[in-house]
Amino acid sequence: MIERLSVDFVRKLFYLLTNGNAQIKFHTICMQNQNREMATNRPIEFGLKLLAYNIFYRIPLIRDIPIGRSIGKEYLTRQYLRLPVEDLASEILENPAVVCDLKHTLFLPVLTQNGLYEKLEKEFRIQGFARMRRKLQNSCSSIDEIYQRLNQGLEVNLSPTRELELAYENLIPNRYIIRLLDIAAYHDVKIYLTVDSPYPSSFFESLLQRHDIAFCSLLVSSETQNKKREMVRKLGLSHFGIVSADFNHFIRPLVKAGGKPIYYRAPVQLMKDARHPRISSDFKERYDAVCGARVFSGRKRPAFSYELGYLCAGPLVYSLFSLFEDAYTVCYASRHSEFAKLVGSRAVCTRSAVQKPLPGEIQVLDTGIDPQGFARYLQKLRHMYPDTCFRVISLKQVSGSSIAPLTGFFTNASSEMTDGIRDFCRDYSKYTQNDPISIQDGVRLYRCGCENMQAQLKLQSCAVQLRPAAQM
Amino acid sequence: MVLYHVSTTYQLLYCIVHRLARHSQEEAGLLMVEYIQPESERKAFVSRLENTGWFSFVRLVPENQFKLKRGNALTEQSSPQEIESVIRNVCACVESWKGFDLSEFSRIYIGSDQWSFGIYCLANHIPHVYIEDASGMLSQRERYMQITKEINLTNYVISQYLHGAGTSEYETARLCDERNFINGFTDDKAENFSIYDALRYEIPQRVPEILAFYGASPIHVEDGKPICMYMTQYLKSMAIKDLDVQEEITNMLVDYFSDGCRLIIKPHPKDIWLNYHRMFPDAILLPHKMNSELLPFLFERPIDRVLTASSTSVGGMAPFAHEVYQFTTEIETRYEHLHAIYIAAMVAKELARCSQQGLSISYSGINRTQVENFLKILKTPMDKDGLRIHITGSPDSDAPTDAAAVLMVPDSEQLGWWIPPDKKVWQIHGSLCPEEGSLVAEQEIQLYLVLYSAQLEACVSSFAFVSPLRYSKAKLYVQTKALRKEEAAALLIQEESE
Repeated sequence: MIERLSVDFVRKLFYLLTNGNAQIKFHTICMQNQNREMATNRPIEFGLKLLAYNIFYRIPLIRDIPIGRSIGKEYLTRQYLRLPVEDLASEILENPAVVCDLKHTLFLPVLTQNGLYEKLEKEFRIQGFARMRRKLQNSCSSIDEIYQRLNQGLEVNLSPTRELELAYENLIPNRYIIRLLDIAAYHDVKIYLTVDSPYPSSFFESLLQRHDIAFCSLLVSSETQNKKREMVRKLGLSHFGIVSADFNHFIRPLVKAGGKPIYYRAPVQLMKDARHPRISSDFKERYDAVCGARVFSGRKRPAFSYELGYLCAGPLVYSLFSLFEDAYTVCYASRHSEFAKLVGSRAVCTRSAVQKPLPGEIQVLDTGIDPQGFARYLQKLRHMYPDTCFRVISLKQVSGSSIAPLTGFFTNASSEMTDGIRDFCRDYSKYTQNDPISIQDGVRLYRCGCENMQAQLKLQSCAVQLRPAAQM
Repeated sequence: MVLYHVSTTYQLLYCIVHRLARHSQEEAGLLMVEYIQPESERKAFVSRLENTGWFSFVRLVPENQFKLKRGNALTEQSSPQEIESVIRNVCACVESWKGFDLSEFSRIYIGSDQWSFGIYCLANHIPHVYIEDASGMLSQRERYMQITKEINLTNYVISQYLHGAGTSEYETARLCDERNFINGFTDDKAENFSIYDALRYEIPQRVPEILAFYGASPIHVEDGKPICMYMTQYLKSMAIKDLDVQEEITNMLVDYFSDGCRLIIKPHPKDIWLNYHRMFPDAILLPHKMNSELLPFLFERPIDRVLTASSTSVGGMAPFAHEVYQFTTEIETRYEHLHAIYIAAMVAKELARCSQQGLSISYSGINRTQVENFLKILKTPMDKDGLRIHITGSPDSDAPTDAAAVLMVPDSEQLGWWIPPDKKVWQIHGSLCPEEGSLVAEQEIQLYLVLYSAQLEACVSSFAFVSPLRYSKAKLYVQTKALRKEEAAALLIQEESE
C-alpha cells in the first residue's frame, strides 16, 4: 500500500511526524539510525513508532520521564545514536552557508553560568558575588560594563580577567561538530558562528584558533547588541543550514526564515534525560557535562562495557584519589596497570613488598584483585616493617558490592571497560581542574552499573573461551 | 558487441581503456550503478560519456528503485529462503528493466557483481568476465568482502550466497592487474590487464582524449625538491571508521615519510571529508574526482615518492614512481604502534652508523613491512653479510644465536622475555608529547636492546634524539639508559602474585 502513495506525500508526512518538537526530532532520528532498514522491512511498525513518539513526547511532564534510560542499567549509547559525522555532513553540504551556535553545540560548557559564578565567588571570597553577577548577566552588554556595575554594586575592584580564564577552561570542544564544520569549510560552505555572550569576540576567536576551526564570520551579541537569532536574520541569508542545540529559540524561528534544521541535541541534555542515582547536585552538574561530551556527543559509538566503565566505574576509581591526599598510601595493584598510570605520584602501586624507607603510618588499599595474594603481601609488609602502623582500606567494603569489574584496571588487562574508566578519570580531571568526587557519589554510580558490568565481564570471558574453538 | 558493467570510478576507467585497447573494432555497451555519481551530476556525466563515442549505449542501473522493490534487507542471519526471495525480486527488476538480450553480447564484463546486474547474471548462470574492484584487489578477497559488508550488508549476503566476487564458476576469466597482487597469490582464471601498460604501450594515441574526458590537465611542479605524493583512502573502505583517526594516520605518515619533499595530496575519489587544505596548507591538492591511474600521464617528471596507508591505488603509480611506501592494513588498527617502529629503525640506523657496517636484519612477531619502510626512508645501509640484528615484537621468540643485537619492540607491557643473565639491557624510552590542538594522544614507548657485541655499547650509551612531527603537532623525545641489574631482572620476573 505504501508503494502506491506518492513520494512527495510520504516525504511531507514523514516531515510532520519527525519535526514536532526537539525531543520528537531527536528520538525519531535515533530510531532510524538504530535500524536504517526498518522503514523498508517493517513499514507498519515504523509508522506506528513514529506516531507513538509524536504522542509521548508531546505530553508535558510525561515526556520527561526517563523510561528505559537509567544510567548503568540501559545501553544509552544505542538509544542516543547519532549519525556518523560524515553522513550528517551530506545535509550541511546541500547549503551554500551554515550558521552554527557556539554554546552547547560547538563548545560544551562544564559548569552552567550559575555554577561558574559560584566557583568564582568561592575563589574571590566575596559574599553575594554570584547573585549579583547573575543579576547583571546580559548578553547584549560587554563583560567590562558588567564588571563596572558589579564593582559599584559590591564595592569591590574586580577585573573580568579571572572569569574569562575560567570560562575559557570551562568549555569542552565538541569534536563531532568541529569535524562537521571542517567538512563544510573544505567544500567552501560559508560558516557563520553565533553566540549570545557578554564576552568579547577575541575570547571566542582565540578558542576557535586553538582548535583550528575555520569560519567566515563570528557574531557575538555583546558586540552587535542583538541576540543570535536577530544577528542571523540580519545576514539576509536565503538558503542555509542551522546547526544548533537550541530548537525552540534558534532553529524553529530560523526555519521560518528559510533555514534547514540540523538539530543537535546537547550531550548534557541527553545526560539530564537519563535517570541518575542520588548524587550531589554539584557533582551531577560536572558529571553530566563531562560524560555527555565524551559518550554522547556523537564522536564515539562506544560499546556498552565502555559506557559502563565511563559512567559508572570511572567515578568510583576517581573518588579513591581523595583518599590518598592525607596519608601515604600503597595500593595493591600492578605497577603497569592503568590505575598506576593515573595515580602517578599520589600513591604507590605495587604487588611486591620491596624494602625501602616508609613512614610510620601507612594506608594500604586492598583493591580486591587477589585476596590470598593480598594477605601474603600484607603479612610480608608487617614482617618487614614491624614498627609501622598499617591501616587497610578494602575497596570491596567501600563499594559494598563486587569489585570484579575493576580487576582489569588494577592489573594490566586491557578492555573496553578499562578504557572507559581511564578516559573518565582523565577527562574529569582535565575539565574540572582536578575537582574531587566524594566516595559516596562514586559508590552510588558504581552500584548502578555493577550488575551489567558483571554481565559484560561474563560475556567477554565467554568470547575468550569460545575463540580457540572457533579458530579450530 | 561487448557489454561492461561497473560500479566504481576505477572500474569505469578500466573499462574505457580495456574497450579502446582490446575491443576497438567492436561495439560496446556500458551499464553503470547509479551511485557512481552524485544524483545532481548523473545526467550530465552520462551525456558526456555518450558524446565520446566510446560506447554504443550508456545506461545507469537504477539501484535505488530496485532497492524499494527487492523486499527485506538481509543480514547474516537471513535464511536461504529469505535470500532467494530477494534474489528473485532483484532478477525480476533487472529482467523488466534491461530491455536487451544478453545473448547478443560476445563477452560480458562485470565489475562489482554484488549489485543487481551482477546478481542477475550469477543467479541465471550467465557466463561473464569478472573485473576486480581495485588494482590487485582480486588477491585480497577477504578485505574486499569486508568492505562490501560495511557498505551494503544485503549485497554482501547475496554475494556470499551466490559465490560471487571472483569465485564464481560462471566467471570465464578475471580481469585484474597482476602486478599488484599480494605476494604468493595466483588465480588460474586471472587475465592480466593494467591501465598504465595499456595506455603507455597499447593505445598511447588515445591518452589525450581520455585525459580530456576527465578534464585532467598537466601538473607542473617547480623543480628543486623531490615530489612526494600521498594517496588517500575512502574512510568507509578502511577498518577505522573515524575521521580523527584517519587524519592522525595521514599526519603521521606525512611527518615521517615526506620530509624535505614537495607534498602532493591525491584524495581518493570518495574521500571528501578530510580537509586537506587545512591539514597541509603548503601541499598541492589534486582534484579528488580524477583517477590516480591517470597521474603518470600528467606529470612532466617521474614522482620521487608515493606514500599511502593502505590504498590499493598506489599500484597504479608504482611503475611511474621511484619509491613506493605502502603499509599493510594493520596500520589502520595499530597506527599508534608506528612511533615505536620508527624508534626501532632509528636505533638500527645508529648501530649501522656506529659500527660502519650494513645491517642484516631478522624479524619475529613484528610487522616487517613497517620496519623496512622506516629503514628505507632513513637510508639505513643493508648488507646480507653485515651486522646481524634481530628485531622482535614477541616476548616469547628466540633470537638467532649469531645476532649482535636484539631489539625488542613490545606491543604491550608484558615483558616476561628472555634476557641472558650476563648481558646488559638498554632501555630506549620514547615520549610522544602532543601540542595544543593535536589529535595525538600522549604516549610512553619502551624498547629494549640487548647487545652481544661489547663494541656496540658505545653506540647506544648516549643515543637520544627529538623528532618534531609538524603536521601531527607533537614531538617525539627519545633517550636511552642502561638498566641496572636489578632493573633488568625486574623485567624478567612477574610482580609477586601475578
